Amino acid sequence: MIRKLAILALVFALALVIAPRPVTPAKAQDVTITWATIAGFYTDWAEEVARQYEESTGVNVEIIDIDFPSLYENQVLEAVADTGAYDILTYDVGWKAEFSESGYLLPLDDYIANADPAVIAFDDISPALTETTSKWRGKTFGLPYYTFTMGYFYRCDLFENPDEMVAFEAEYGYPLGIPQTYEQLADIAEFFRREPGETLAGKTVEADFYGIGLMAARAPHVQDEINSIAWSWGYKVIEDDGTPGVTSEGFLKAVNLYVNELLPYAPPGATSSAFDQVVAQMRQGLIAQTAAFYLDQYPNMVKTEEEVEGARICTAPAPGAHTWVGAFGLGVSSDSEHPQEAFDFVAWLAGPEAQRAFAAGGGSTSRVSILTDAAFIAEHPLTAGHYPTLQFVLDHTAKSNFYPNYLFVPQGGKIYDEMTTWYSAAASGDESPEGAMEKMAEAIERQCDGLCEIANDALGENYTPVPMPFDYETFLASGAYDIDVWIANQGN
Amino acid sequence: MSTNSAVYQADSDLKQTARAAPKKQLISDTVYSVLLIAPALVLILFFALIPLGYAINVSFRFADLTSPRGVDNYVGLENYHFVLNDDFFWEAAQRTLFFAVIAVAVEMIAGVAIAFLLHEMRWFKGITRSLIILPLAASPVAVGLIWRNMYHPDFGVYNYLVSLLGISEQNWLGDPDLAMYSVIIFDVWQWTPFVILITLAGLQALPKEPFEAAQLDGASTWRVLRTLTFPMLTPVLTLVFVLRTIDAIRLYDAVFSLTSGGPGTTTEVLTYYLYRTGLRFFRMDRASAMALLFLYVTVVFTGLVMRRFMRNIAARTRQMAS
Amino acid sequence: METQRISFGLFFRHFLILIILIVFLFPIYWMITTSFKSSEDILTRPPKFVFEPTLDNYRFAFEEADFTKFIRNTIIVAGLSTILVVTFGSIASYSFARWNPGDGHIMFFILTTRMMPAIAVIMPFFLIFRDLGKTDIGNRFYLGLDQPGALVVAYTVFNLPFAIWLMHSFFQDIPMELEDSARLDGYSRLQVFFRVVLPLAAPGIAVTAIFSLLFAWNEFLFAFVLTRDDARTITVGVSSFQTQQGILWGPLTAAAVVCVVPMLVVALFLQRYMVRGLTFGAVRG
Repeated sequence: MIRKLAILALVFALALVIAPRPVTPAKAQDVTITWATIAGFYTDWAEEVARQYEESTGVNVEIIDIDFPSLYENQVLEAVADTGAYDILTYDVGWKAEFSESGYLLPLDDYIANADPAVIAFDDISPALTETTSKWRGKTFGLPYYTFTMGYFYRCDLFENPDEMVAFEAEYGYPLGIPQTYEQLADIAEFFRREPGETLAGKTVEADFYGIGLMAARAPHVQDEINSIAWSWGYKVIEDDGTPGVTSEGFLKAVNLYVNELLPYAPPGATSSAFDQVVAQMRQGLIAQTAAFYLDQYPNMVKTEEEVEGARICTAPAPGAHTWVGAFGLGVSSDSEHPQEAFDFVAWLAGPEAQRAFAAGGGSTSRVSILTDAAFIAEHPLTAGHYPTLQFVLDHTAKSNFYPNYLFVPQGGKIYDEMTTWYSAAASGDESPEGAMEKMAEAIERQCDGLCEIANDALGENYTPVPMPFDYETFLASGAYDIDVWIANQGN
Repeated sequence: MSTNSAVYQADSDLKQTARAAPKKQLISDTVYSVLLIAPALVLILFFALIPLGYAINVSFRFADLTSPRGVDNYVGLENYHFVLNDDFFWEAAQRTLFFAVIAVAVEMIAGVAIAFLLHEMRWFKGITRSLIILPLAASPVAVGLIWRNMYHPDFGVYNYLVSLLGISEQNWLGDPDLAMYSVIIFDVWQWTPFVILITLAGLQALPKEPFEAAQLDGASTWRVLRTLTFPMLTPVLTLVFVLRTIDAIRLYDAVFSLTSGGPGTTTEVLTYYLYRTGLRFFRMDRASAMALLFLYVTVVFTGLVMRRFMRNIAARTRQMAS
Repeated sequence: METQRISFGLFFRHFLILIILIVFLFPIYWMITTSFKSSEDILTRPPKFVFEPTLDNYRFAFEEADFTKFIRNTIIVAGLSTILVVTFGSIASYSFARWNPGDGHIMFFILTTRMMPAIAVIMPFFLIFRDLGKTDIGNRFYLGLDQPGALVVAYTVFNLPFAIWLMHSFFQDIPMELEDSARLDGYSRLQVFFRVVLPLAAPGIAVTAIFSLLFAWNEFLFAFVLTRDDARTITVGVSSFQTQQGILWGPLTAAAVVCVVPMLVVALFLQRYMVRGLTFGAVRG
C-alpha cells in the first residue's frame, strides 16, 4: 500500500513537471475580456449573447458567475489586490459610489462620447436608472443592464372579490384596493389574515392564510422593504448633513410599522425568508400581497395563476411609489488591459439590440423604448406583464428626483451590509426597533468615520429633498396593474 | 518490555562486530531528524509565518484596503485598543464561547454515550458503525445549505416532523432565541460521530485483563466505569476535547451557510464578525488585531490543556532514545 | 461481555441505536431524495415524501453549471494535497516520534499554526499566490490565483499539523527494538523507515490520508477566495446556485449530493481503517 502511494505520488509529481504551462493566447490580435457577474438565469442568457457577440466581433467573452451573496467581496478583493482578473464588473446600485470612488471602475464618458449613438442610445436608458446606477460626481461609471426596481404584487382575484370588498369597507371605512399608503397596506395585511376554518373569497380555508409576505431574513432584501417605508414618508438613512437618520422619530415609526403592523400578519417563516421564499409563499397560495417587492420577479410570481386555482396576480407601485429604484450596473474595471473592448461589450449588452433579446428572454430591461413597447408587451404577457407598472415607478422617480442619500456615499457597500444586519435584528425581535436603529447609527458612523460624505452634486441642481405624491388616478386609469386590462386599453 | 530489551541488548552485543564496517553514517542522527522534518517545516514556516508577519505588521498600521490610503502609516496600539473596546467584538466573543461550550459538551456526552451503546451491540455492529459516521464526511457548506431548507418554517421538513410529534412549529433559524440552538443542533449532528469514532477506538483498545479481574471480583458496572473505563479513556477524551474545542471556536462554515450570522446578530460568532471586518469592510488592521488576539487565546488554552500531554510525549521520546 | 444473554435490555439497546441511526441519517436521506424532486415539489407545504422522481436537477447541474469541471478540480486538488500531506507529514512525524527535534517546541508550534482562523490568513494567502502566479516556478506549478496548485499548497499547509499530530503516536508505538535490529541486519536508516516503520504505521497513514482527503474535499473558504472559474471546486460550485433569481434548490441539492456522496462512500468503506487506525495510534495518547 505504501509503495503504491509513493509511486502514485511520484507519477503525479512527474505529471506536474512535464505538464505544459498554462496556455497563452495563440494569436496576438485575440482579445479575451472577463466579465464577473451574478450566477443565475440572467447569466445563462448572457452566455448565449456573449457567444453571439464573439461570433460577430471576434472578441472572446469569458463569464465568471459568482453567487449573489459573495459578489461584493469577491470583486472588491480582486480590485484591491490589483489582480486585473476582471475586465467588466457587475455592481449593485448601493455599491456604485464605493466602486467609483475607490477607483475600481473606469469613467466611461469619453468612451460614450466616441461610441456609435445607434449602438449605445444612452438617452433611451430610463433616467431614474442612469441617476442611480451610472452617475457619480458628474461622471458615468457604468450602464444598467437589468433592473430590480421595486413595486408591489397582490392577488387581484381576492382584492376584487365582492364579499371581501364589502367586508373590508365595513371594517376599515374605505374601499379595498391598491394600497396608496403603508397604513393601508397594514390594514389589508391584517384583513386578509385567516385561520383554518375561516372563509376566504367564499371558500373555507384549510391552512393558515397570511395577509402579507415579507423577506425579513438577514439578507439585503429586508433593508429594501424597510427603507421603502421610511423613504415614501421622506425619512432618510443618512440625512442631508451626513449624519445617520435612522434614529429620528419618523424613521423609527417606519421600522415600528414594519415590525408591529406588518410582520404579525406574515407567515412565521418571514424572518427566515428572502425574496424567493416569498415567491414560493405566493405560489403556494399562502399570502395575499407583498410589501415593496422586486418587479423583476413577475415571471415567477405569475406562475401562481397556474398553480393556485382562480388566482390572478397584479402589480402596482409600492405604497407612495418611492422605493428601491435600481439596477445591476456593468462597468469597466480600471485594472482592465482591454478597456475599449470591455466597454464595447458593455455598451452592446446594455444597448437596444441585446436588451430586446434580454427582455424577450424574461429579463427586466432598463430601456424605455422596450418598457413602453405595447406590441412587445402584448406578445410577452407572462414575462413582461410588469413593464407598464415598472415604467410608472421609474417615471415617477425621475420626475420627483428624490433618491436615497446612501446611494451617493462612498461607503455604500459597507453601509448596505450594516443595514442588513440591524434591520434583521429589529425584524426578528433580537433587538427593539429603537435599540437596533441605535446600533445601526453607530455602525454607519463607524463606516463613514464620522460624518458621511454625500456627493449631492451628483443629483443635479433641482434636487428636491421631499417625496412627491404619486398620481394614482392616471395609474388606475391606464390599467397597468392588470396586464390584461392594460393590453385591452391599448386598443382604444 | 524489560525482558525483551534485554534480549535485543544481547542480540546487538552479538552483532556489534557485524555492523561496524558498512554502517558508517554520512550524517548524524540530529541532522537526519532535521532533514526529515524539513519539507513540512519549510512549507509551514513559509505559509504560516508570512501571513502571520503580514497580520502582525498590519495590526499596528492603518489599513483600510478599500480606501485610497490602503495599508498606511503605523498607528501603534490603536487597533488593539479599538478591538478591545468594541462592543460588537465582545458580543461575538460571548456567542462563540456559548456555542463552543454547549456544542462541545453535548457532542462529548452524546458521543461517549452512543459509543458505549455501539460497543456493546451484538448484531449489525459493523454496518451501524459505518453508517453513523457518515455526517462527518459531508461538506459543511453543502449540507448546511440543505439544512437551511430543511429548517425553513413554512416549507421545511423539520417543522413537519415536529408537528407530527404534536409540538408547535418553530422558526428554527429566524427566531433569535432559537437560532443559535439550531446551529448547535447542526454542529452536533455533524461532529458527534467524530467523538463516537474516537471513543469507540479507545474502547476497543482497552486491555481485557483488568476488566476480567473486576468481573471476577463482582464489581458493579458503575464501579467498573468509574475506576477502570473512564480513567483509561481519559487521554483519548482529552484529545477529542481539544480537537473539538479548537474547531468549535473556529466555527465558520455552518454559520455562513445556515444563517449568515442572523437573525440580527444572534449567530454572529467571532469568526463571522472577523469575516465581515476583513472581507466585507476590508479593515485589515482591525481584522488582524482581532485574529491575533483570537490566536493568542486559543494557543494559551491549548497549551494549558495539552501541557501534560506534551510532557508525556517528551518523556516517552527521551525514554525511547535513551 | 461475551456471556451477555439475549434479554430485553439487549433488544432495547439495539432499538435505541436504530432510533439514533435514523436521526443521524435522516438529513442525508432527505438531501438525496430532494435532489430527485422537480422544482415545484421542493418548496411545498407540507413537504412531499412521495413524488415523481426526475433527473432534471442533475441535468441542470452538469449542463448549465459545468459540474464536471468542478469535480475534476476537486479530485486533483484533494488527491494531490493528500499525497503531499501524507508524504511530508509521515517523515516529519516519524522524526518527531523518534528524535523529537526542538524538544516538543517545534511540534507545538506546528500545532498552533492550525489555530489561526482561516479568515485571518486568507488575505495574505491571496497576495502570496497572486505574486507566485507571476513567477516562473509559480507558473510551471500552477501556483497562481484560480489555479489548482495554489489550493493544493494551501490545503497541504493546513492539513500538515493535523497529520503530524495524528501520526505521531503511531510512530511512537513502533518498538525501537525492531528498528535497531533492522539496522543490525544491515539496513540503512532510509531502508529502516521504508521497509520496517512505514508498513507498521500503515493504519495510521491510512487514517491520516482519509481525514486529509475529507478536509480538502469539503473545504470552502480557501476554494472560494483563491479560485474564480478555472480552478473552482465543487463546494464553491454548490454555493453558486444562490442566484439573484433566488436559491435554485433543486440543482443546488443535486450538486450537494454530487459533492457529498463520494466522501460518504469513502467513509463507509474505509471506516474500518479509521477505527482500527485510531485504535492503534491516537488513542494511546
